[in-house]
Amino acid sequence: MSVPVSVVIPSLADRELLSLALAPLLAELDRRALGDEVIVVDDSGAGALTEWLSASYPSVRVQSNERNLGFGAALLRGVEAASHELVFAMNPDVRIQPGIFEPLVETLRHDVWAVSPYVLLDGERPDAESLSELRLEGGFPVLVHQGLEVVPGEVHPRYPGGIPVAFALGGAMLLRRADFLASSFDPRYAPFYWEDVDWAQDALRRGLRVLVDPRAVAHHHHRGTIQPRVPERLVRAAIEKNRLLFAWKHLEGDDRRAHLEALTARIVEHAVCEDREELVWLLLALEQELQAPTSA
Amino acid sequence: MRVALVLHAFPPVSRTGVETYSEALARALAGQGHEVHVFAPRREERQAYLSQTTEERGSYRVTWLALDRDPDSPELRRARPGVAAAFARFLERERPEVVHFQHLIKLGPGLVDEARERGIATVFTAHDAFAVSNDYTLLAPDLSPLAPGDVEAAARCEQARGILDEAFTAHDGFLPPGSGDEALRARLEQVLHGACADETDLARRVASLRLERDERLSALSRCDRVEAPTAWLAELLRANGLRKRIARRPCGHDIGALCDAAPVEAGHAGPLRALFLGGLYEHKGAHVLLEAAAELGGEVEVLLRGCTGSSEYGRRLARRAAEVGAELGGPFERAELRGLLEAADVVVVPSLWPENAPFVIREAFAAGRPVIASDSAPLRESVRSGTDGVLLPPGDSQALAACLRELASDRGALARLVSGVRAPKGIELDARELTATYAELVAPQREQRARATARLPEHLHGFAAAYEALDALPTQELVRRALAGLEDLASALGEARPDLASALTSASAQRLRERVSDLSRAADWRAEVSRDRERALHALEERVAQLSAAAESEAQRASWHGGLLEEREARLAWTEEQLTERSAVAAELSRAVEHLTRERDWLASEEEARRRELAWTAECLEDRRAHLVEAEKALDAALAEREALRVGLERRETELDTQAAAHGELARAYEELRSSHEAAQQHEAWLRGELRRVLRPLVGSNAGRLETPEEIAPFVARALEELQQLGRELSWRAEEMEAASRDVRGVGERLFHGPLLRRVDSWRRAVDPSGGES
Repeated sequence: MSVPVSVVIPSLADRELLSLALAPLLAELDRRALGDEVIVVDDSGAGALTEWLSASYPSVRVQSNERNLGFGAALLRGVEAASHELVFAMNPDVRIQPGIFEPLVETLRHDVWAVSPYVLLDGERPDAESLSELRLEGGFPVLVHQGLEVVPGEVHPRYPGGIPVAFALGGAMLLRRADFLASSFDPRYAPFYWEDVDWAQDALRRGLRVLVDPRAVAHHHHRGTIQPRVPERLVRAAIEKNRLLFAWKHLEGDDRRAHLEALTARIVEHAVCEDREELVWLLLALEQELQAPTSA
Repeated sequence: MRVALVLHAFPPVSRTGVETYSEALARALAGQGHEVHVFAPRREERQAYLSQTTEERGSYRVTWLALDRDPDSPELRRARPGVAAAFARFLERERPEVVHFQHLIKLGPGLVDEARERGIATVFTAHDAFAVSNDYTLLAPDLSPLAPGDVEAAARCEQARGILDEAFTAHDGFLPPGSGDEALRARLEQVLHGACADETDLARRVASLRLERDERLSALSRCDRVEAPTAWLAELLRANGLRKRIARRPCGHDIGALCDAAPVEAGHAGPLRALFLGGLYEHKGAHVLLEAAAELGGEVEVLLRGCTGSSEYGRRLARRAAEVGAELGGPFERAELRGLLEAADVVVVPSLWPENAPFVIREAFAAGRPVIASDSAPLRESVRSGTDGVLLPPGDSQALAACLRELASDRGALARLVSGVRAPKGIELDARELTATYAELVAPQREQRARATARLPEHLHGFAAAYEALDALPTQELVRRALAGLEDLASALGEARPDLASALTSASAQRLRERVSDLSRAADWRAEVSRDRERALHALEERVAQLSAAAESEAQRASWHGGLLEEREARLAWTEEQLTERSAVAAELSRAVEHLTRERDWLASEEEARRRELAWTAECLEDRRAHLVEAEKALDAALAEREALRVGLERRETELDTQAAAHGELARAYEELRSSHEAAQQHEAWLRGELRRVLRPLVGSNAGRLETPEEIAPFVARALEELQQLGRELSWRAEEMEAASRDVRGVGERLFHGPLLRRVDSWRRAVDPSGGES
């Protein structure tokens, strides 16, 4: 299909990762010769990438944020600046394989909200990254791997039109610009994680589909941008806080009551077992939720 | 600020000085807005070993750590297995920003590192010498002084206490004064000061004590701040290895209720009332006061109040008090303190140990009572003898009796001491000072956290700050907020408040039930493991001690061999030294001989040179003498010549005078002759002119053109005629000329020949004897 794509890459001052990501990406776009574009949103807040990109990758458009805004806001800025209707949101720690865009564009049909490639973690088989399933375990939402056997680069025999998943990976997904501008990531999930799950969940509830097309393949250096800058305990706190916010936003009826019951038991458990970290995660979520209550 | 006070015991379990002070400090710090949490152990056999129980005390809280027994062995004093881990759980749970250690006996030094590993500021206040010696009284069981750095003496003290254990069913670690068992005294004397009977045991104890002491000093040196109430204690700790700057800062006291105590009525009619307050143990010296009371025979009322166990000393003290008419009471509540002090005129502190800064002295001063205390270095920092009390030699009951008698008889002296008493530092001031200290210590850690947050990407700052703020809260507060937040959440979601009972019995609480069960088993397991470790540690200590003893024995052998070797080496060295010295002397002698030989040769050569010089000098003298003779002759000749010259000169002078006269005459003659000569020359010139005039007509102007004989002939003929005429004239003229020439020759001869010329020649020769022409 001859549809051009805008590739939006929100990035901190990760020159090395960007170099690794841009090389195969630009080569692929050259091959396509469809007038695709690459927009890097310099989210370092200090213009750390702007000059370097202009000098090293003159074909790349640069949007420079005066302040570090975080992944969600930076992605929105890039999508706003995109020239094409189809946008591939991409992390700087993702490296695509040739031929990624054609199957993605093909799979992003009208009833599909977003589609991700089959994401390999540094060349290994993925865990829950792109073939995820959302479950409730003990009253809490968890993302688990579907357990499908997938051959990278090939159509899955059971899901020739794409494998349904709980969410499209925010760091590697094709979406429609207009959809994202109308409904971007929920800022309550700042600083990171679960925002793409929430974004997909909203669409799934509207009857849309979110897919992974295994014909399209990318490699992900997991947490390549966060790990060097953010202590693990904060990363974990952000994940767990957002897990709770997700639950409070999306669980309904018996699931929600079971969750609250489980949460009560969990607080007692943390009190008895002195699980301070879990209590801190819960309070981070509670403080945020009670400041801006959800409208489920 | 969240502050944890950590100490070995706490009221009401124990009420000695440090515990009472810490209780007052907890209240005062809480009163200044701090969240204060006390961590203290207590013997609690009904609860699981090392379990923790938190008790609310109004403005502060106390967490009791359950121990199953007191730390009666050095091994347990050092580090009871599990205590540090229990303290770590306390720190994790309560999140203090500052841990202030008041005492570490029964707890061990491991607590310091637990706090430091969590980045918590640590303060240690030394209240006694425990940091450097288990025997913090610095007294041996026979009440003799014990040097804090003498580990062997401390080990002997432990051995001696074993003897006390055998002798008494209960004791306080000292031989009760007055005990009449001479055999027991002799045994103690032998163990404490004599040759050691059990070297292995002693070596084991020394190794253990040294290890314990080093660990304790090392841990306390790592505290962020170390304080001591007196300069004496600060110096003692420093001198014995506490590698940290020790700030001297007196502790404050809860003096509020005591400040209103009724003043001393110095002039009351009754006998003087002396009060002893404190532990009734040997080192506190209560028996010294009783002996003084015995001497006073009722002149002074003596009251003793304080804790005493069922020890031999306590029993003896009770008997002696009854004998001397003193009143001996038991322990007292703090509420009684004011009444006890009001009923006394003076407070007696007859300590036999170098007591650091007894709280009873501050309490007495707060109530306006002067203090009679033992004259020890630390107590000199508390009592100003003659101003607010009297200092007396420790243990001197007679001096104490004399002092009390004097105050009893001279109430003016008592009144003067009373007037010199000043109120001690209050606990509120103490708390304010500590607040400043805590803030100073906490600031860098807060800054460090702020810097860590600032290094994060900007959009994470708010999240990280919220995380840190929550992470700093005690667990209890987290739980409280979580439960409250859960209610609000349920309300916001439009759900009913979760029922705790149903939540805990629901399927989702299965994990909780399993974990609680696990925790219970884990607690039992931890206690068992701790005991195992304690036993293992004890065994290890025993093994280490045995090895240390063996090593000590080997070291002694090695030392003996070393000594022998050293002795031989010393002898060898001495011999070598002697050889070296002798070689040095020989070399020196050789050098001296060589030097003397050279000197002798030099002298011989010098002598020869002198001899030659003398001969030469003699020759020279002879020559000089000959020369002198000749010179004399020459001189005589010269004198004669001079005389001849003188005569000649005189003659010459005469001649010169004559010649001068002749010269004048000659000059005049010369002048005359010159004039004649000039005249003759003029005449000659005239004649020549005439000649030319005569010839001119002959040749005329053609004289130059007469070249041919024809041209010349006429002229010649005429000239011959004229010449003939002229010849004649010329003959005449020649005759004239001849005459003139003769005249000239005559004058010339006169002038250049004859006597005048000879005279001139003689003058010339006189002037130039060489005879040269002038």
